[in-house]
Amino acid sequence: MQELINGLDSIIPEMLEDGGPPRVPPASKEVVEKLPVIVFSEELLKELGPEAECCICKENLVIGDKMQELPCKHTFHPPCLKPWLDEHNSCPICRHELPTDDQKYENWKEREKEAEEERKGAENAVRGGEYMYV
Amino acid sequence: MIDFSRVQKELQDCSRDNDSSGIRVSPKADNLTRLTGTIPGPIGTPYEGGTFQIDITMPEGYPFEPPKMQFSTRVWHPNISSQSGAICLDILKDQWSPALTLKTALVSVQALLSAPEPKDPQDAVVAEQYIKNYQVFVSTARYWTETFAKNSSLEEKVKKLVEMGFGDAQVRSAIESSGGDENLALEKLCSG
Ligand SMILES: [Zn+2]
Ligand SMILES: [Zn+2]
Repeated sequence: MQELINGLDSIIPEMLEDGGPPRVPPASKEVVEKLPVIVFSEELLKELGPEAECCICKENLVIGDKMQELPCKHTFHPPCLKPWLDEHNSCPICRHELPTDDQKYENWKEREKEAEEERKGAENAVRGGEYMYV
Repeated sequence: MIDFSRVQKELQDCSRDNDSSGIRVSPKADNLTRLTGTIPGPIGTPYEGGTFQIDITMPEGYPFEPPKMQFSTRVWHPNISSQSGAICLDILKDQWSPALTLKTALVSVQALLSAPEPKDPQDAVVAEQYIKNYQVFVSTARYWTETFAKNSSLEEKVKKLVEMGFGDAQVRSAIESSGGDENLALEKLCSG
């Protein structure tokens, strides 16, 4: 009995999560292919300092390293970034989302965005009545 | 395949950081798939003064999958199972990112000790007590800290041997392989 309870203890929170947002799909293959690749240069070394590293392998960057740049400007070694973007659509550092090939997910995201804007609009309307007349 | 070179690097960075957090990570045996994390209970909480051990198991896909973490020290907290030590924390589940590390994950676990979220409980009994009877919650949590997290004889042994100049990981495996016998562990360490 006790074991059963222990088991439920870990299962229940996971069951509850099912009602939430859909599982995040991988980043669009096409978008990933077109990500710019920059070369870590003397200048970048000066700008970022010798401690600059790839946040996935945690290795310091060396001049000549090819780095893939996401739209948020965070950069990673392409082989380090690939396994992550094969399963997720966000920047490992700032969670900036890349487009996906999953229409269902994109629709959900669009709806969420609209709902969020509506909430904000409603808050503004409540906070300052004058907004309503602008 | 676990990125062992990254794990190795993380361990080095951890032992090099002598920040005030008191958070440590050390391997359980020679292989790096099982580790132990140690976090001090945050000051100003019912966990203050306690030292909490966390069992860490590295999944095959690390760092693309989160490390599995579970308290081995018993703790009374809404988001930690009082039975199994399982932790309910988003970054150890779907909010994990490969930019996070064992150290940053342990920092988040420590922050969770300071800021329970009873609305997203792991242990429903504790969460209910937290919401309905906060004073009782505090005294229970404090009692558990006294009982389970200050029983730090292992930590005291480790500290003593480390102060004699042995490495933390060596000391831990020596103590473990000598069944907790400090003198036997010392003999083993001396004989190399
Ligand atoms: Zn890398
Ligand atoms: Zn980013």
